Amino acid sequence: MIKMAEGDHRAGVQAEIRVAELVHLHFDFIWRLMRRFGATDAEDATQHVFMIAWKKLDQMQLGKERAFLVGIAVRVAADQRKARSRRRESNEEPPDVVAPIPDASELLEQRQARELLDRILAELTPDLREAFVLAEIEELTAREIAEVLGVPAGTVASRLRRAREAFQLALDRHWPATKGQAP
Amino acid sequence: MKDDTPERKERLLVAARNDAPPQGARDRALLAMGVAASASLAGAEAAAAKLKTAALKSTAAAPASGASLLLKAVGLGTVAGALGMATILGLKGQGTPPAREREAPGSVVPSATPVQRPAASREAASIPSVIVSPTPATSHTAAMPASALSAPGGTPVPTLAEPSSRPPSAAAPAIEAERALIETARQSLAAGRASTAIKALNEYEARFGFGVLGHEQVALKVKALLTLGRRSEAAVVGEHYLAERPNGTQAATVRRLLAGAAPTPSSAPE
Repeated sequence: MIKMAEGDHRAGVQAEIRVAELVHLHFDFIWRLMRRFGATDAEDATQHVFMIAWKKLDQMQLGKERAFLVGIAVRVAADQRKARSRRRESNEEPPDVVAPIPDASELLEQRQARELLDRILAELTPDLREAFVLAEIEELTAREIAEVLGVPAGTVASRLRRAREAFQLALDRHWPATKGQAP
Repeated sequence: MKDDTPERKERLLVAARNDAPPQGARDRALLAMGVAASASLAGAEAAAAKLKTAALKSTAAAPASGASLLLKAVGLGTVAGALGMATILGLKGQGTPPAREREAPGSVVPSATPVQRPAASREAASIPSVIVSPTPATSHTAAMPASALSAPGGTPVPTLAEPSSRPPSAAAPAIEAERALIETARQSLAAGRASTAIKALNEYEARFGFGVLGHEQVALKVKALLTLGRRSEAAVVGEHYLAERPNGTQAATVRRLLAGAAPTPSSAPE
């Protein structure tokens, strides 16, 4: 009995170390994903992703930790979208309105760029947004994306193509080309 | 004519790749999850070893290998972050049973909302006018003590974003002054000195009006007033903000503060 308890305790400690390792390795990456997926509170959502990963640690294959986490992140983001949608339907929450793009300044340029990016991403459908973020920002391969999203490679290719087209259209609308000189 | 489309797109993508969580976010997550300091340290060591191996492989192999991507995604400072955790967590013993079940997100430790800062002016719908040069993502080389910014009901209160590692610019001094006042207020509030926090926030308002960090100023002020039991004043400040900026970056936080409710837990796939 005591031996079994010791074994459980040891396994618990090992799991805790494992999840700590995951957090140290992948926290920033998952946080960025949650941000670009449009999470209302990226830090909170990121914690949630790791909590779920902890619970499902036994399902995580060695060497595929990142894909495992991305899969959870995609589902958490989807759940948040659904929750937001429900709240809007019940008029509990006004629809998200992306803030106007602020004036440029050197100090804030990256933040502004991110705000513009988020504004454009918000116009993509969730499927296209996920594919675009994973491919263009996080630079996952189409094969990796297919794996984490659980869809065929052909579907990923199609989504990526449509996502890039939609992104381009939105980019041109929000930030028209200057034809010949950098903005 | 030269098409600048790739440049425009790349500027946005680079900015997104350089995005980083607020300072101390990783440590707060470990703390909120109930990971013991000893486990965090051990995990950090394992992570550091993995990174080192990846770095060696990436040196030997192609530069765009998965290892280099991993390094890029992870950033540096893993061990330092873990050491910070040890400091935060103190003497929490090894093998402490983890908090297996999550309560409301952020209910254990207030999580900081990554701040989407408003710019100095929102008059014009202009675009970023300066080419964004790739800069390394902010690394968390030092852990920030977990702030004690917990509202009644555990509502998270915003904290400042990571200090910029970018070169200073002409706008930097004003921004830094704003940042310093907000940081003073935040730390004062965390230390239980709500009156001091309010002084700093009033000074901020007098100097900058609704400045670049105006959203954060309001949220902190509402929180500070509530801490002092000045609910009616908090309501005035908060309601005014919500009326003016119903979709402001801190609108949800202010609503939660005023409602005295805990943050809405997001449902998760099980």
